[in-house]
Amino acid sequence: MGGLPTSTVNGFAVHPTNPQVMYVAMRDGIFRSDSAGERWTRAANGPKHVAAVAINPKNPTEVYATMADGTLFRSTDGGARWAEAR
Amino acid sequence: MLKLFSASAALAAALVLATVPASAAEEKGGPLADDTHASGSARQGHSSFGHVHALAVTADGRTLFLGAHSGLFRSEDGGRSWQPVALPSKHHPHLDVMAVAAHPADARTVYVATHEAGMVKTTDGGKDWHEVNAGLGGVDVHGLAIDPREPHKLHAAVRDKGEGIFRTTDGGAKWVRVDDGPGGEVKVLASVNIPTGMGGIFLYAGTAAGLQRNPDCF
Repeated sequence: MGGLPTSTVNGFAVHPTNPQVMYVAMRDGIFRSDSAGERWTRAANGPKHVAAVAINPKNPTEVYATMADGTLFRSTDGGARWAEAR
Repeated sequence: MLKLFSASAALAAALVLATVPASAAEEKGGPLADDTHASGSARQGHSSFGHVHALAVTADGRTLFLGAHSGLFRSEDGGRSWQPVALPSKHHPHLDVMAVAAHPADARTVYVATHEAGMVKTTDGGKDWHEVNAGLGGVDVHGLAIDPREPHKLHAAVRDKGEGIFRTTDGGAKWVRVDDGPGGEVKVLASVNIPTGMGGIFLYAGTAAGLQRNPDCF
């Protein structure tokens, strides 16, 4: 599990058609794997204290993540860039 | 490698469960598990949520469901506005929603796991909800995974009384206990469509001890 901190995993989401692609929500941020969890990369500009993450099954490059207080973030490029949903 | 969170039917359970630190079960409410409560910034979410546990998008991509300490909420506008969803509850003013699983093909079908009342299901897009708890060992469900290949098959992680991993193969009509599950608190459970070579796919569990996975052919 290279690249994933050894702490609590709050949320998890997997791509609907490519199961190698998955996201994890943690205190330290949002992490993406393209290898079914073998290697992970943290989203550089994503939020921290992330409680949950979800993928739009109709458009899987659209990914949502929520902080524990409900502040919602959205990415439209598969988790590379994140912005608060307003 | 990801840790296996439990043994498959062919392996001894103790072998793998021993890889989870003994302290993991004690982290509920501890500084690690509680860290997400701290906002640490000026951002404010929806004030009525309380602590958020879960997020899901329906199969048509149109509706977001958010599970929180104060109940279930839905948004039709990408999260700009949220409406509370009334769930059936005999004994509680609101239910603490721990997990939400949207059917991968039918946007009207959504399953919700709660802290106090087990599981509820809608098949009409969230207007009517009914309990689907027959055979479930307890009412405190912390993780819920829907099988992407066979959406009538789900796995649920029950905590505390009657704890374990439970499986239904008929959309929640009947649950059967299939495994002890990972050590420590399960925060999230998901079925991942990667063949195990043993006829099943992998079940991933996010816990206080990190991410673990196990073949689902318990």
